[in-house]
Amino acid sequence: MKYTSIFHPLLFRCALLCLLLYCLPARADGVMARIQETIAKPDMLCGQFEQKKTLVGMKKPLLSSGRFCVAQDKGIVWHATKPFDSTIRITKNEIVQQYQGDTTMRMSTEKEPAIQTINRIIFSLIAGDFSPLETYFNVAPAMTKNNWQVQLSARDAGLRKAIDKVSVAGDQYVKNIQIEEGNGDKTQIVFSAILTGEAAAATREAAMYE
Amino acid sequence: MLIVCVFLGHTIFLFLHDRIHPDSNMLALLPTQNHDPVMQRAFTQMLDAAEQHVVVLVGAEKWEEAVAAADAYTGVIRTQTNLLEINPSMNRDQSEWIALFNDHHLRLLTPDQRKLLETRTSRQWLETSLMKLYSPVGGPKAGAWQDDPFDLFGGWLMNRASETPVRPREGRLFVQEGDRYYILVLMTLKAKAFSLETAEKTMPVLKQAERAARDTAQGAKTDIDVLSTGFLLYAAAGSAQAQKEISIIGLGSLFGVALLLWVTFRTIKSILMIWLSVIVGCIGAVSVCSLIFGQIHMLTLVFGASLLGVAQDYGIFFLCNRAVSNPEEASWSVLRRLLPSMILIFGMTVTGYMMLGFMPFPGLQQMALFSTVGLLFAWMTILCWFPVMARANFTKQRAPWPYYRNLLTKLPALGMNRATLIVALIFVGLAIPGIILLRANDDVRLLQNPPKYLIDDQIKISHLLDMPAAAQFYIVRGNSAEQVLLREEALKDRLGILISRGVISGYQAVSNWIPSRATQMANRDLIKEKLLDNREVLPALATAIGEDAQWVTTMRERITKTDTELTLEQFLSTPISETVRHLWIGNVGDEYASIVLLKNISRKDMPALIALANGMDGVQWVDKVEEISSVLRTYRHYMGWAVLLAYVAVFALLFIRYRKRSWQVIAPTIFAGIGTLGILGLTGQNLQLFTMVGFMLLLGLGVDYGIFWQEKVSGDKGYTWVEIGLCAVTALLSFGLLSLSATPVLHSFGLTLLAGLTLVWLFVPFFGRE
Repeated sequence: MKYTSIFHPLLFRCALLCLLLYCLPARADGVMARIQETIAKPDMLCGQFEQKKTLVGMKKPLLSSGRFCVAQDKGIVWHATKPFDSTIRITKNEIVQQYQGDTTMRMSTEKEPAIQTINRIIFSLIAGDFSPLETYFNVAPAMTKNNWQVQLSARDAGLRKAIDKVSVAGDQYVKNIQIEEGNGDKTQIVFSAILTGEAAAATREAAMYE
Repeated sequence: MLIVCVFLGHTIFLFLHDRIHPDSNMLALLPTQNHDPVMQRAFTQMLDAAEQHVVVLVGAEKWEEAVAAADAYTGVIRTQTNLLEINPSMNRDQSEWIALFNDHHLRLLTPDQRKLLETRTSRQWLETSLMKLYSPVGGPKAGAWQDDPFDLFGGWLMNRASETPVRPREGRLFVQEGDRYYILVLMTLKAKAFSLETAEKTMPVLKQAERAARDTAQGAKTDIDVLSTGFLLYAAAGSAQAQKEISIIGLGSLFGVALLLWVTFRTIKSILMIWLSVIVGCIGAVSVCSLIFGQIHMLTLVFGASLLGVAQDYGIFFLCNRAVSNPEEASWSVLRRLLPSMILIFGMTVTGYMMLGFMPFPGLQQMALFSTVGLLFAWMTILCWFPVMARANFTKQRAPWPYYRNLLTKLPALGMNRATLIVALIFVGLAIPGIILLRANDDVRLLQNPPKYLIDDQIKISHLLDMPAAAQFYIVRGNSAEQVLLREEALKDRLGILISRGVISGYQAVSNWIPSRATQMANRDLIKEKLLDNREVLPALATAIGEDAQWVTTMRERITKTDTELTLEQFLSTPISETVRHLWIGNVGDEYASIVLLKNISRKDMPALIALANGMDGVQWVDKVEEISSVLRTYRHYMGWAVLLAYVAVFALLFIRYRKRSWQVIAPTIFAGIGTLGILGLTGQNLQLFTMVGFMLLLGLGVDYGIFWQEKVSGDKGYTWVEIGLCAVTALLSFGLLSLSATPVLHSFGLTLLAGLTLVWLFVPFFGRE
């Protein structure tokens, strides 16, 4: 009967990765307030992504692209079509991975309670409540006209080993995310062709929530 | 006089120096029958892991509200660092221990991963790896993709994390259920949990902390949950209940007896004298008991104090006889006449109590000693002081209880007549179905009757924290640590089947963290064969990401760079091993042992769990609850025979003095005993060890009344009847009131005596009437 927990920093990293992809940090100062005003908060948002990963010790960068959706009440669909067809679906109750139509991983909230937290953080951030990020990062916002950029740097040494720096930029929507990991690996994601409302709901990815 | 002063002095000394800390751990009363050192260590370790802890979950709808409430809670606790210490909830830099496991990552696989490695195709591993590589949100991973391209180590770590639903967030530990967050506050008591003193000091602090946590909800439309559990809470509830009962039963008995004596003798003196005898008895008992046992158990005080009530009988016996004796006769001479009967009744009761002392039950031994010593002191008080204090004029009433005395003349004579037949038929007609209905229940949990909110909180907390059962588990033994781990693994293979059938939901074992040497080797060989040295997997991966053969070689080297065995010593030196360290029993004598805990077991699945261990070398199923219950069952049988034997012994003793009339002395008690069994059966009471203790006392007391009746020292039958009535009512006031106790043990004991003594009282005049 020992009640001590087994701490899992990995879940943290997972959560952070997720939230970093879609969200930006906030601070109650003028710049952050303006950034928040600028960002649209649709119920559903779909678009294209292009991802470039540069891993230390690898000659070529790894490119992937596809379409994605983020819905307030349903979760996230990340559908890559290149270099191969794969889907990651994060809903309230589970994370499901599919490779060319076959489910390769399914993790439920029941088994891993952190998933719910991950989702909730993402959604709260999309809704414009970015304060949770400040627990882990120093946040530096900047804004010019309708474009903004937010720099995040890990506060904690342990976290710095995993995610050192993150940079998020955009206008009405998040357009660009760069993640630098402690070991030197880099990930860059660029979003484009963003749709909202009915146009978003009509996409193939929107149908994948079911 | 001098002796009393010495003991009084000692008792005062004990109190002044705060040396009396009544113990409230019910289990301390139970016999330690376990001679198996491994099992003893196992129980000690399990208990030590839990005994000193208080677990609190502070829950709210919103995370921020839960944090505010939990902070209010810990804020109060932190002002009392001398009582409670809050366990650090999170070591912020966890990378150290992960790094340790990372060095041995080739040796660590979950059972599922092993299965996958054996069944999956190279193509599937390629896909897994690519998914991991390209996905931005592909779940957790351990370090760089190139260090763990197949997510085996990450999966293993995830599997370890899934042993508990508790997660860290912002420097706190929490669990989540539905829409509620519960923040975990784990505290360690600085003092012994089972001490009245600890409970008295700590409980108000916990209450205050709870109030502070709930108060944070004020103004906001939210409700704060505070769930608490821990041995301390149970101990505190137990002592609070016992204290309440001691005062109710004690005061009830004290003033009931006083009233009774007033009605009978109409003098304060008579009341004071009886009280004196009991008080001297108590002082002697407390003093001697703490000298011998060092500590007095809560239940001993409750039980013992009421057993001492018997001492009043001697006083009443003397006073009644003094009252009816010739006023000219000196009190000393009255005593001299009474002495043989006084010795006889004292001998009877002490014999009964001593029988309790011969049981290898620390609790019963303590109660037996407490009562015997107490009785001796009270008895001596009566012999030495009563004749001095009670002169002929101590009573103002020569013929008390007139109506009651008249009853005696109206009783139908026992013999070959219709009335006897009807009484006998009614008696048999009620007793037989009752005895048939009688059931036994030796469940150890009857020893305690914790308040419902405590049980509810505990159930909720174990559910939220997904805690394994602590009283039922497997013990695994072997000649070496390696053999223990190997046997654990064999056991876990079988448990895996039960998990897939939904019998249990999981297990905790040291080998989850540190596989046996053999399994570590096998894991590494499997990873090498299926993935690293496989001609398809890594080269195909290289092709897919546009790398060459050189990259394959580099990857292989990078992954196998650190490949050493993880040793038990290494593991046990990590902070993370604290979560399972209590499961490792280690070296005991010439063997090694460990504990495997199960999650979500239910009573009905016990046979399957017992059967699982059958035929497995070194694996043993242990059920502490069942074990203690079976010990109680054994002693109930043993005690049952002891009662029967005691009847024979008492009869033999009586025969020395009463010869042919002996059966008349003992018959009321025998019939009362049978009648009591019937009443217990009809009222749905269960037979258990402490019922038997009740029967033993019934014999001791009942025979006293038989003796009083036979002795007719003063030749006045009516007065003897008053005397028995007085004794019976005082006894009912002390024992009978125990039937009001909420502790099932005391309740059943009290009820046995309440029914039994009433019946003896009624039956006595039917036997040996002239």
